[in-house]
Amino acid sequence: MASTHKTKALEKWLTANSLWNTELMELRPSPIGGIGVFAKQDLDPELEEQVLLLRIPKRNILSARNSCIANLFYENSIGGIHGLILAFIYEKALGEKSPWFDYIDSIMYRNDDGSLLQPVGCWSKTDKALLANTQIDMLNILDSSELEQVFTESVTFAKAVADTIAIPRELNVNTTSSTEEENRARFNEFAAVVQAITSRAFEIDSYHEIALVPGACLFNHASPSSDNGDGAEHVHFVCDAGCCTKCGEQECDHDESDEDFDVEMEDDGFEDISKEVSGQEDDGVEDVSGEEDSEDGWESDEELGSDEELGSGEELESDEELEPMTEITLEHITKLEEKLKQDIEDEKEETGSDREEEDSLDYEISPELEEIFSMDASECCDIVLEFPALAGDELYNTYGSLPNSLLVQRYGFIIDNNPADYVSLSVQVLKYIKKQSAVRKRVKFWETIGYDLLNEMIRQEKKKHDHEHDGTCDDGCGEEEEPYEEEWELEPRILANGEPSDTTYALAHLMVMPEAKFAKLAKTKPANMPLALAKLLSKEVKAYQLVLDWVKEKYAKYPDNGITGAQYTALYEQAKESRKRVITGILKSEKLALEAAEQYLTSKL
Amino acid sequence: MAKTPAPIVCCSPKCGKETDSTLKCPICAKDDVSNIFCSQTCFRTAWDEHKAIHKAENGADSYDPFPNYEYSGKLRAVYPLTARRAIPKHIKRPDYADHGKPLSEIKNDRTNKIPVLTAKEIAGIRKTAKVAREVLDVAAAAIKPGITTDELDAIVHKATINRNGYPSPLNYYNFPKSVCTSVNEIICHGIPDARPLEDGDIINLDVTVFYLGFHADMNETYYVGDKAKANQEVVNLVETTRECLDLAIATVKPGLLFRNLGEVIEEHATKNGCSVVRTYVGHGVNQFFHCQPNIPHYAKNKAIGIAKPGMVFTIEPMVCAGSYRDIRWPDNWTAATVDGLWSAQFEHMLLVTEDGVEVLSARNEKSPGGAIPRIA
Repeated sequence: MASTHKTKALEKWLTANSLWNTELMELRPSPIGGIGVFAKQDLDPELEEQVLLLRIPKRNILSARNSCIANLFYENSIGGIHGLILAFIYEKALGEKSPWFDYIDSIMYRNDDGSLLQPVGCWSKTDKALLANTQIDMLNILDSSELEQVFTESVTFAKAVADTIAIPRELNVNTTSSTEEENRARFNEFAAVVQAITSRAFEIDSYHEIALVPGACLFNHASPSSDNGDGAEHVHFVCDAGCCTKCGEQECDHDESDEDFDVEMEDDGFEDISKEVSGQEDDGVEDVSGEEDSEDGWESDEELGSDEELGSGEELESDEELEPMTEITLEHITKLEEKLKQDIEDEKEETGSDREEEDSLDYEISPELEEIFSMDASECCDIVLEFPALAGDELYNTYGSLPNSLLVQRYGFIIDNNPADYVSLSVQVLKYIKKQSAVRKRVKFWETIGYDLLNEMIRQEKKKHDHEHDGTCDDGCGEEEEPYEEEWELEPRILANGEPSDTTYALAHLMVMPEAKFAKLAKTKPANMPLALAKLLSKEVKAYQLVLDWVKEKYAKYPDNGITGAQYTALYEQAKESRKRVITGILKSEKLALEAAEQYLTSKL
Repeated sequence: MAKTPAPIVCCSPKCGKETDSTLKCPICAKDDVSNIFCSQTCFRTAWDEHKAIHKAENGADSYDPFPNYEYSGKLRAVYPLTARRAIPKHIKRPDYADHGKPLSEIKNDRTNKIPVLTAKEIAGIRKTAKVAREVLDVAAAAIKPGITTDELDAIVHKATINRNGYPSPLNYYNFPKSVCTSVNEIICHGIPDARPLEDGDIINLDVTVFYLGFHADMNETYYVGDKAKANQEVVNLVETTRECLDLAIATVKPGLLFRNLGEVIEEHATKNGCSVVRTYVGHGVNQFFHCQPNIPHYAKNKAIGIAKPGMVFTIEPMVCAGSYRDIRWPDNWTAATVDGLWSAQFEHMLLVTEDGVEVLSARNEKSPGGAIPRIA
């Protein structure tokens, strides 16, 4: 969760750097820990003035691109999450001098109980051992080597640029003068920073990639409404991702065909001139690039953006569409003058109404806010209200439909009774296949035809079903399809409710069917294949038995001498320390799911 | 033997292509001036800018081209503009000279890369800066009550081409002249026109020269006549601005965060009762007229980048006696203060060195202008 203190300073920062709707919401401690955002009045997304809760310009978000050392990142080809981590650490090192100080200062690196909020990979061996055989283990989240790699690269970068900017504390590793213990402490601090960042980062667009969005990360997570139907989430993060990768602008000249540019570049004379000065071939124009903001010494947005001013005039008809003209007469000129006058009038009318709105603000606003008011939504990140809330409600965002293992990895928390949770049977399935050499053909069939086709079919059925019930279908419905595991080996699983997933059951069915039946299935014509595959979902005692075997095997693999789900539930309820809660919570949900599976499968026998 | 006539080019500043079209401007033709549009499209898209060189319809010597515009101060545009000045063939032109679009600049735009010049390039740009300083000084020496800003433009243009340079402003995004002349309440980007300077005015000359493949960019504000030097408020504004720039330059060295320059400038401006313009910023200048880094002059900005030896950029604070807010004249260039109160600007071009800064645009003992004491 967004663990945030020093909320007053943060609110002040938000008020100065974004449109943060203090009339509708406030920050205070959340019952789930840390700080949350709460509705100050009943909120209704149908009311236009209540929709926009936060608007922060992209230039005010904390990203590698916006960093004070963005040029050093460019020179060292650093971007993505690594760039964001470094951008954050260097801004943090500037203390109050950073324009993001109040935001950075509000971030906690420790749990309420004082323990460092660290990625699971950095937990003690004892803690990690308790998670053996859980999803966290299966997904390799216990492994910290990737993080260590990022740390090493970060330290290398810091040393490489040390003559330009001082090395921040977290990266100040010295193998000669510092002890291993001191260096380990640096790494632990680094790891806590990384956890703080990964738990808050949002995907922005192809220019900024990912970034910290002050304000947006304060909305705690709830499972998506689509999961449990009770509308747990209230707000969504909205950010126009379509922009130029070179400059981050929506409309710019960088998307124009490069060919055009290349042609123009060839005769721009720069190369020759550079040679004249430098005597070197390589010092041509390619080496001298630079960014030009909308606010450079010459241009404002309008000028750089408006092609019609510079180009062939999109608004005006091209010569071919105009009456042929062999001579410009005074009459032509009068006509054109009239049109230009009319254009100005039209423009006045348009901007005039805007101005009225601006004038109606009867209070003084800062120049920063005034700029945000005039900005286009595409230049900003928004938090918008999607579902109604009552006064006093905590306002939740959803970070997506994620199982606890991934929630722990990214955000450091789990959700009790998480409907998206599951327990993988991959290890058990693969072991089974290895032992049964007779099923090899069937595995091949599953891998090449069966798995994808059946998945496709199940999803289409589900879509049909959903639409029948819901009636409404937004344009986006095609995109909301739940992705399935691309690799069939990773799919076998027991869902949170104790049932095997459809394809897990189908795979078991495929394994146990008589040889003759399989031969027939394998020979089915492509057109009839989907229907033939659907039969794998039909009731078959042997299939249930096989899944049950896998479940029992999985259950026996936890190195905890068979502590039950109920016992873990009790431990979970008692656990106060956050790490203990994560560990017991994970085990409780896995054990309960497997126990439910055993019951369910046994009932089918 | 008959001389080959010079090829005729389309008179649209957005086009500049050779043409055999017959679409003459009939108004120019009346004065025996031949201006040809290559197509109807060029005629239609460039007309608004083209007609600025036409004489007043009523036969008057000069006229206000925007009679219905609510100017924020006393200054008015005084047209006609003179025709675009020619560039001798032997002078190397930047890529935008014909059509106005600095394609190489746009292409290399906004990559977060801040160019670092090699020793050879530094030697080159130093020469360019020296030429630009000479040009600025020549024009500044001509400032006196009665001279028009267009005459100053002619001086800048001539001084530049005499030194084999191209006056960078000319046709950059279709700017019509070779220098920016910003008088009194004009913040920047004033277009040289037929207005004679008056005793008591202040004027900023913003000169940029393209020479040896580099742009060199610098500007200063000058007092016109003795009246201005005796005006306590005006002197405070001009000298405060000059000091703002000097204070900012003093902080330049490797490791400087560009966003910190604004703190120094705004603090000094505020202390002297002035405000800092936010819309226009300093910039990298090298093979490109404008590139990274951006240098906002106001406090609490989030400009990106950190200084390294070999970077060349400008600091050019625009400081106002009243509101920092700017508006733009209908010519789409001239930036004026919203309240009509005066504004001053100074610009230097700086090279980050190993241990500090070299002012490439530095004045010399013969340079006109310079600081004067405040009036108590």
